[in-house]
Amino acid sequence: MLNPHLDLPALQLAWAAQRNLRVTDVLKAEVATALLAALRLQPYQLRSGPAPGEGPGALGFQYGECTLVPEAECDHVTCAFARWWHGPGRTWLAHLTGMALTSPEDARIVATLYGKGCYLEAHNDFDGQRALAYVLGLTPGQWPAEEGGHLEFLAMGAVDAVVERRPPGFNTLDIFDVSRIEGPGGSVARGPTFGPVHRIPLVTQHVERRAISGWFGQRTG
Amino acid sequence: MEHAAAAAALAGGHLHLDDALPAGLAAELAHLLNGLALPPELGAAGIACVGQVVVPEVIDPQNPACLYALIHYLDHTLPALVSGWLGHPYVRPDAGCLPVWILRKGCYLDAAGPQPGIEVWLGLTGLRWPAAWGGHLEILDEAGKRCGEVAPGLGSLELIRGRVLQVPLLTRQVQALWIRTVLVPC
Repeated sequence: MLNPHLDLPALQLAWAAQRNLRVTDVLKAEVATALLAALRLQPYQLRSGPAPGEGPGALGFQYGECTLVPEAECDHVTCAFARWWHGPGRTWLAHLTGMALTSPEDARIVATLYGKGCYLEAHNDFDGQRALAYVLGLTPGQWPAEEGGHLEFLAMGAVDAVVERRPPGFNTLDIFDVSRIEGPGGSVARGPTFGPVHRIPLVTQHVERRAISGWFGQRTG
Repeated sequence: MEHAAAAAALAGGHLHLDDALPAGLAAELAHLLNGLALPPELGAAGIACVGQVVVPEVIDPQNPACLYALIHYLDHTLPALVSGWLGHPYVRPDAGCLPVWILRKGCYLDAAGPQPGIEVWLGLTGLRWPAAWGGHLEILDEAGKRCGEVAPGLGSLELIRGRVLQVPLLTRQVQALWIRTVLVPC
């Protein structure tokens, strides 16, 4: 499934510098194309949830979601991908990041779909369990950041200070370390210039931002 | 409202009433209904949080009295007013029910209509915000030209006939609540 031409040593260096990385052309092209086609056939539920610290009724996110738990012998593309992702794929990411990554027991993958009206408010994914956040981009289209749907990393303590913006991609993999909390002024032990506080601004047009998103945990001790 | 002025406004497609409900009743209803946990739904017309409160016909003292007051207004007072203005009897097909529409950040309604009958939008929203944030009701003619815009109000009423309606994408963490129903001739 993995693109055989990826340069793992170069990616390891880039990861070590920031612990936040976009890998392009991560899968074999035909795999990414088949995965997108399969996900387009899946039913998505519009989900929303509260925004911590906001007033009553304020939502922290709104987007379409489809959770897929692979069956052991099923050769459907999403089942095959999920088994690979939580097996050899995770092993490759562990080599890339140097983290002892763990998967959910059921090897689920969660496909997300952002259309008009969808968003994810600024947050860091830290919960003491998650170690590595990932976003496998499967969006064939492109649009300007003003129309929302781009992944934005924010400066700590300054909610509207975007330090990096990544447009939706196709066959891209965004990974970032969420195993720590960045202190004010970027004071973290491992020293990146920006932390994992991130958001996806409101999508204002009828577009489709598709991805498979989630987190790996990490073995301790 | 004066009979002739109301009839003329309805003939023109839109009648706005500022204080259709007494302020105290509107505030009580807004407090009650804004607490409904309605999830957003993606429909053909857009995204909104939609639910229906069914009010029993026989008054049950365990239900908030404001619900019966609103049902009485929508099912009796308002149809009688409209019938008088237009010289023809009107009724509400979903009598006894309160169709609740909550619009929060990320909600919108694409242009749709005109619907048969008279569309009724009763605002139960305490907050005000600029139109640039979205979430205001826009009234269009059949050519798609905007001919009116209404901020969600508290106890205010919009009666709309033969018009296309839309609500632009709400981009901020505010919440509009409408009771949205229809009157039809009988």
